[in-house]
Amino acid sequence: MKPHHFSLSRRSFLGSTLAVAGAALVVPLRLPMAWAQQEEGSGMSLAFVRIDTSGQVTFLLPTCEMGQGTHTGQAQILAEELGTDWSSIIVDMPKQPVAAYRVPVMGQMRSVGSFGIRYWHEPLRLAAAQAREMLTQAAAERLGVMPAALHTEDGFVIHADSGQRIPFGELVEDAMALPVPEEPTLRPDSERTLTGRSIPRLDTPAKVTGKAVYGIDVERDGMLYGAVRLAPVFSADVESIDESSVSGMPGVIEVVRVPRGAVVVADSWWQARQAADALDITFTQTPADHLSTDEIDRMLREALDRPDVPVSTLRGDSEAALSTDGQVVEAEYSVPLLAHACMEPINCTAESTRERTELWIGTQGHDVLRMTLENALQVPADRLFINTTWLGGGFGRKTHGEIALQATLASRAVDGRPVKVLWAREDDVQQGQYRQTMRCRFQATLDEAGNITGMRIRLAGPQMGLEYGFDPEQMAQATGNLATSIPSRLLACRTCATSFRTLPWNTPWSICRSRFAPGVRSLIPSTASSSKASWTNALRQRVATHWNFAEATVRGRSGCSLSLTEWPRCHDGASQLPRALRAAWQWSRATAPMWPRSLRRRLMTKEFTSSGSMRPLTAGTPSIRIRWRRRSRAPSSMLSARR
Amino acid sequence: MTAFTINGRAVEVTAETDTPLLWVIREQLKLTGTRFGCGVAQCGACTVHLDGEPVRSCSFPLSGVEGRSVTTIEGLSEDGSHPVQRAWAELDVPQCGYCQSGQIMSAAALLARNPNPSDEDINAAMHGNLCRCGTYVRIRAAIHRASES
Repeated sequence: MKPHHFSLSRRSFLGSTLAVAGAALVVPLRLPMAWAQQEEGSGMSLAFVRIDTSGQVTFLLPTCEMGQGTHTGQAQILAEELGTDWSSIIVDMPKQPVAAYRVPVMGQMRSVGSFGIRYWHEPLRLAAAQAREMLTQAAAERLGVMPAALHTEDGFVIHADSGQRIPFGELVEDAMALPVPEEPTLRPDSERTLTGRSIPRLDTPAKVTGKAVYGIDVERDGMLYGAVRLAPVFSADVESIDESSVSGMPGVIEVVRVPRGAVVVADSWWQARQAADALDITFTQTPADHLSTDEIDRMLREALDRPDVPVSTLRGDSEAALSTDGQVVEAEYSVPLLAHACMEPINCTAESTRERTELWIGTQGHDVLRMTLENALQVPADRLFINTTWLGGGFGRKTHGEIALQATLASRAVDGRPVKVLWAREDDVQQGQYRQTMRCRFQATLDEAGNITGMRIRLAGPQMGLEYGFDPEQMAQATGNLATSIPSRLLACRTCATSFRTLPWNTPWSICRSRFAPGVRSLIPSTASSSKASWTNALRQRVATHWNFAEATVRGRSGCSLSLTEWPRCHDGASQLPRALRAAWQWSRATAPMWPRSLRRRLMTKEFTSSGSMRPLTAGTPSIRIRWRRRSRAPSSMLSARR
Repeated sequence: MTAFTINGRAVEVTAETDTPLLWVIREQLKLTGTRFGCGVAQCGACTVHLDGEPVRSCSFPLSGVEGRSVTTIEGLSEDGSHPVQRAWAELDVPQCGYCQSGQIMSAAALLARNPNPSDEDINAAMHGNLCRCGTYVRIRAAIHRASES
C-alpha cells in the first residue's frame, strides 16, 4: 500500500514523493532507553530526524498542524540545530504514537495545551544536536581532523580550514555506526539564523492554491463515503433500526451500526447523507431528553443562591473582610455552552481489516485514537497506522476518537475498503464536546481608597467529565488564583450535574483564563494593575499573606529544579502532595511571564515530578526560591523573590 | 449527464441533477481545494466562480451549471500567481487555511469587478466568508495588497 505523505517543502510541491528506502540515519531520542528499544522493535523511523543516503532530511514532528504554525516552528528548531538546508526539508508526522512522541505530563501523543513549542523545543533541539554530532564525528574520522574543527551548514559537514564539504547523505551510514551522544552540545544562541525570528510559514503556499490536504481531502482508491445518524442525546443509544428503509436509495451500499447510531455507506457522500437523513432509526429515551438551555440556566442560578455551599478555598480573614463596612460591589457573569465548530467538520478515512487498520485523519489525539480502537475493537497498537493530515481547525475538539471508531467499523463492514466518514455541520454541532456553560458571581468589598479588602467568588457549572480528573476544588482554586492582587478573599464553589459532556478544554485553567478572566478584570479594573511590577508585588503579597506554606522541590527532567516554599494547602489542611504539585504546575504556568526568559523556557518545557515533602513553615519567612540547575552542571542561577 | 466547463476544461458528469455542485467538484472531478463547511451557504468555504460570479457550491445544484463555466481555486492560476494568491502568500494570511480557498475566490471576484475596493467594499463583499481562526485583518490587508498589483 502506498504510504500517504504530507510534505511541505518546495520539492514536494513539485510533485516528488518521499523515498524512504535504503539506509538512513535515524536518531533515537536521548532519554529513556526503553524508547529506543521500542523504535527498533517496531522497525520504523520515529524520532524527529531522519536523513537518508541521498541527503534528504525529513523531520517527523510530534504535534499536528492545525493553523498554529507548529510545523514551521518545530522545523525551524530542528533545521537550525542540525545545520541543514531549510528549502529542502520534508516535514511529516510519525504513523504510530510511540513513546518519543508523548508529552510526559500527559503520557500521550497529543497536540493540545499550547505545548507545541513550549514543551517540544528542547527534545527536538537535543535530537537534532545528536544527529549533528554523529555526522560531525563521522566526518572527523574520515578527514582525520578533530570534530571541533568541523561545523554543519546547509546539509554539509564543513572543514573550514581546508574548505572540504561532505554532504550529510554520504556520512549517514558511518554515522549510524556511532553511539548516540548522551549530552550533545547545543548550538550557541549567537549562531542562530533561522530561529528567533518570524519566517514565512511552510504551509502557506499549499493553503493559497487549494493543494493543502486536510482529512476531508484524502483520496484512496476505491474509497466509499459515510454519513452518520447519531443519537441526539449523549446518554441515548439506538433502540431500533430498519436498514431496509434506505436499501433502495441511490448509491447506498451498507448501513453500519456504530455506538449511539449508524453510518450509512454509499458511493458518494451526498448519497450517504440523503440516506442517513431518511434512515428509519429510533433512540432510547433518557432523563436528559427534555433538558433545555433554560433548565440548565435555572439549575445554575439555583446553585449560586444555595446557602449551604461548602467553602472551597479560603484565604485570609475573608469573612471579616466581607463585612458590610465600606462599599460592596457585585457582578454576575455567565457563559453559554459552546460547540467548537471547527471549519472542517469531523471526519476520518479508514481502511481496516482484522489484520491491519490504517487511518487518515487530522487529529490532535493520536494516543486517544489508539486507545479508542484498542478498547472497542482490540486493535493492537502495532497494527494501527495513523496518517496525520492538516486540520481545518482543532480547538481541542479533534482530540477525540469516536469518528475513528465509526470509520473503522464502516470499513470493516465493507470488507476493508476505504471509507471516508464525514459529519455534516449539523452532526458536528449536535455531537459537540461542548465547552462548559457556567455562572459565576463575584462580590467584593472596597475600602475608602477603593482597594479590595475581600472577595467572594461563587461558581456553578455542570460536573466536568471525570475522565479528565478535574474536580470543583481545582476549578475554584484556578478561578480564585486569577485575582492575585486581592489581599483576602473567600472563595466558594458549587457544582450541579447535568447530562452533557464537556471537553478537556474546560479545564480549570481554560475557564479561568478565557471564561472568567474578563469577569475578574472588569470587576477590579482600578485596583489590579497589569504591569509587571504590580504583578510581582501582588505575587509576593499573596505568598506572604495568604497561602499556607510548605516546601517541596519540583524537579524537571533534565536538571531544572523549582524549589518553592509556598505551596497552597488544601482547604481541609491536609498535606496532599499530588494536589499541591498539580497546583504548582499551574502556578508555574501562570506566573512564568514574570520570570527571566531562560528560566521560563526551562520550566515551561518540563514535566515536574516530586522530590520534596510538605511541611508548614514558620510564619513570617515566606519566600519563593526558584533554583535552576543547568544540564551541564554549571553553577546554578537563582531567582529570589524574598520579602 | 451534465456538461459544463471547469477551469477551462470541458467535462461531462453523471450524477443526480439535484446533487450540490460541491460534491461533484470534490468527489467526481477530484478538485478538493473547494471545501465543505456548512452545507447551507452560510460559511463561504465552498465558494467557486460561476461565469465569473462567486457562488456557494454546497447549495448550488448540478443542474444549474449545464453549459456554464466554473472556476475553482485550482483554476484561479496554475502556480499560485494570481495577484490575490500572491498577496495571500506575502502576508501569510492563512492559519488553519481551511476557509482560505473560499476567501480567495470571493476576494478575486470582488477585485474583478472593483479593482480598488475600500474597507467597506471589502467588508460587504467578504462578510459571507467565515474564518474560525480570525484572519480577517490579514485578509483585508491582502485584498488591498492585491489591488495594488
